[in-house]
Order: sequence, then C-alpha cells, then structure tokens
Amino acid sequence: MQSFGNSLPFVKHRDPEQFEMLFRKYSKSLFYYAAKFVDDEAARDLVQDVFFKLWSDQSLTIRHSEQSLLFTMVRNSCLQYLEKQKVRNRHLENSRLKLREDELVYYIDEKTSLIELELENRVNDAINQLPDRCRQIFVMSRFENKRNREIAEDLEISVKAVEKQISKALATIRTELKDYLPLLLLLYSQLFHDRGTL
Amino acid sequence: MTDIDALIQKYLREETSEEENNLLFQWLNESTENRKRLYAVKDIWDSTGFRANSKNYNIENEAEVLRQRIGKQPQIRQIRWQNAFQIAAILLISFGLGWFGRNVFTSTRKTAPVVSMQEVFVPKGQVNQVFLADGTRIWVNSETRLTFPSVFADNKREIKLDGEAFFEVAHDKNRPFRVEVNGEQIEVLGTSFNVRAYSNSGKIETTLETGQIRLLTGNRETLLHPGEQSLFNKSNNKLTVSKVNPTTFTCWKEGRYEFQDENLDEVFKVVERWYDVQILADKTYFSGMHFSGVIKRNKDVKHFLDLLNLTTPIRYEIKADKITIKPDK
Repeated sequence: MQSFGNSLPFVKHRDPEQFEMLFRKYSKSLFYYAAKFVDDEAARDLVQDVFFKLWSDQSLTIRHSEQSLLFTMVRNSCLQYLEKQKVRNRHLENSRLKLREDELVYYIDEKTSLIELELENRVNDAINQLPDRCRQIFVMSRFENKRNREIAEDLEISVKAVEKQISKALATIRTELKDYLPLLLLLYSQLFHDRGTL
Repeated sequence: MTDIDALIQKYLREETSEEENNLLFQWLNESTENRKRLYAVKDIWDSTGFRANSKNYNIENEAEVLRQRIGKQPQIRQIRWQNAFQIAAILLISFGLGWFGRNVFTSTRKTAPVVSMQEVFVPKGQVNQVFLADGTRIWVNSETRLTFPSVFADNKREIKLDGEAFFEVAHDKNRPFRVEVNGEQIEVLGTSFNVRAYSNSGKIETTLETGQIRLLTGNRETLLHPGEQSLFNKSNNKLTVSKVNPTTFTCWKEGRYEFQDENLDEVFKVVERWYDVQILADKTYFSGMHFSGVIKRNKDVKHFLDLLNLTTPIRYEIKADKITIKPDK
C-alpha cells in the first residue's frame, strides 16, 4: 500500500537500519522505473547514486513522502543521463534516445507510472481477467519471452493474429486500469511539490 | 489491426529500427492522445517486468555495492521478539537476505551464495507480505510460518507452510512451485491460491483463484480448477472438493475476513490470531453455533464482539489481551 504524507526524518540521523530498509523497500521499483528510460546498466547505477546521495547529502529533506522524493530523484537523474548521452552522441542519429526523453518528459508532467503507484498487482489482476486465448498469448509474449513468430507456430495461427491478440490485451488492460488512474492522480498531485526541493 | 499497433509492439520489444523510431516519433507529435496511448501501453508492459523477470535486479548485490560505497556496513540488530515493529522490520531484512537474482553467478560478488533455509514467522495480530526473487508474492497471515531455501534450485521451487498464506506464483514452467503443508503437496506452475493449514486444526483448506494446481495427498492426485476449494481432513484422510467464491477465502489479505455460516469455534480462532487476544468462552454453550459476517482488521476486537452480539446475545469483558465471553441470558 502507498503511504501518503509519510515523512521520516531518519536520513538526518544516519540510521543504517532504517536506511537499509528503505533501500530494500524501494530500490527494485526504482530500478524498474529508471529502466523505462535508460538501459539496465545505467538504471542500476542511477539507483545507487540516488541512495548514495540520500545518505550523504545533509541538505535533503523528505517533505511529503519518502516515495515521492525517491522517484523524483530517479527521474531527475534519468533526465541528466539522457542529456549527457545526447551530447555524447550528437553526431549520431539516435531516435531511441529522443523517444525515451520524450517519455520521461511525459512523466515529469505530473503523470504517474503504475510502477510508482505500486499497481503491478492490479495489472496482474487485469491480465488474469483477459479472455483465455488473449491471456495465453499475452503471457507467452510477455512472461515466456516468446517471439510472435514462435507463438504463431505453437498455436498454429498467423503472426498477424498474435499481434492482434497482444494489442487487444494491452488495450483491455489499459481500459481496466482507467478507473484507478484519475483518483490516484488526484491523490498524487499534492506530492509533487517535492520536485521543488531538488 | 493497424500498422501503428504493430509498430508499438515492436517498440515495446525494442526491435524497432532507426527509421521506425522516427516514424513513431512523428506519430506521437500528431496528438496528445497518441502520446498517452503509447506511454500507457508501454507503462503496462514495463510494470509487468517484475513478473516477466526480463530485467534483472539483484538486491543483495546492489546492497553490497552501496555498503562498500558508503564505507560502512549497516548493522542488523539481534531479534527481540516482543516488539511488533521490530518483528516487521526483521522480517523484511531476513527476507531480503534470501532475495537472489538469476544473474547471481555472473555478478561482481566474489563469494558464491551459500544455500541456507530461511524462515519467516508472522506472529499473532499481524499480516505481512513476502516477495521472492522469482517474482512470486506471498501474503502471510497471522501466526504463520514459512520455510524456504535462500536460493531455489534450478529445477524446482519448494516452500513449507504452517498456517495461512495467499500465493501469487510467478510462472516458470521449468521450475514447478511446491508448497508442502503437513504432508500434503500442492504443485503449481503459475497461479494464485490460498492455503489455510494451521497444524493444530487437522485440516488443510486450499482455495484456487486463478490457474491450475495439483494436490498430492497420500498416493492420490487431485486437480483443482479456479473457483474450487479442497478440504483435506487429516483425521480420516478424506479430501472433498467444492465450488466456492474464492474472494471469501482470500480477502483477509485486503484486511477483511468474511464468514459465511462458520462454526463459532473456528471464528474465535481467527479472531484470536488476528487481534492477538485470548478468548475465554464456555465451549459447550457456543459449540455448534454459527456466525456470518465480516470483520475488519482496521476495526478493533470490540467491533467483532458487538457484531456477534447482534445474532447471539453475549456479555463480554476485556482484560488486557484476555476476553471472557458469556451468554447473556
């Protein structure tokens, strides 16, 4: 569950136990969040940096919630990282970088990821509620890492039909989750003031 | 099926070419709705990464790297069992020690992990959650013990249970997931189900929400389908399967307990575990009586007693954690 407005002043006190708990509680989600925008290796490093900063920077304070602070820090680090990459690759066309930055800006603009909202469970529920065939194909694609061609061969259907089912799955899950998003976004907007502290 | 759907899927799988990316970028800038559509779908795709294990994150490795960086080893204090908050904390930490990733052998850590048995115990009055690195999530009810190896084998995942837990097992066809409950074996590939098997009750109740599970009792094998519940009675070795509404049996993880015409003896046991209280009641008077209703964890035990009073007139007295219930005649 989310804990809104949960402010813990322990960062100031350098309590190693609390710090380790905080790390165990959030680092994995933060990694998955960062991995939306940057490659896995960079995501691991960014999460490390954020926690290192949290430990060593006396000026940081948790005003609204530890969670919103951490996700904001990761988002900012990702943006810096992408900008550096852009400069480094300025002579090369890099459309992926451009798209990832576009996505990150989308999240800075007060949009919240399902990862941050801890809604993976709702996503799983939505997957479980998909029609049998649709779910089977989505699970094969997403969880068994099968290519569309392999799925098509396994099930003796066309690749187009596989694509169609996966699109259907994604659209259905999105519709299922729609009800959650407006409410959570409302609750969440009050936490975004944390952005100002960085 | 439009071309854009195919393109979006390709992008999710990170298989797009430079040209295709540019095409997608162009399409994005055509409308805000397009942008929302792509990123909502990608967010769904990304957030299932936990279960898909498509991206590896080894929390132990990462914790070690961080520790070395801040040049100080965070100390894990000795367990003092009397403090509820500490128990919750220890649970998280000791569980974390068992967390592993598939890339553990390719990691920068020099020492190979030693397989040891991990034990999680959730005392009365608490409910907790355990995450396994294979993506499995377990809700552990009060007075429940889970035992599992710190690292699962390559070909199987085995876990022991005494008490009640709800499992959301990550699919892994190469490593079946087995729950051992006092001799009964529950084998699954990827599914969600609830097991209530307190060793002192002599019963094993398994409720399947999604997927399929195989029960091994004695030499018998029984397949369970969604919405079915099996009840194994150890006194006569009998297994019965019935259709139920799974939510009734799994909603405790959301902080509610639903009883439908449940034996009052059983209800008292649940209340004792949930609120960490001891109920002293006239067994002969209450035995054979039934209770229907919902109790909530965020309400105190008085709420339950008042609810009970509506159907069965009682008088009660609460002294510390002891509750004496007498018939109100």
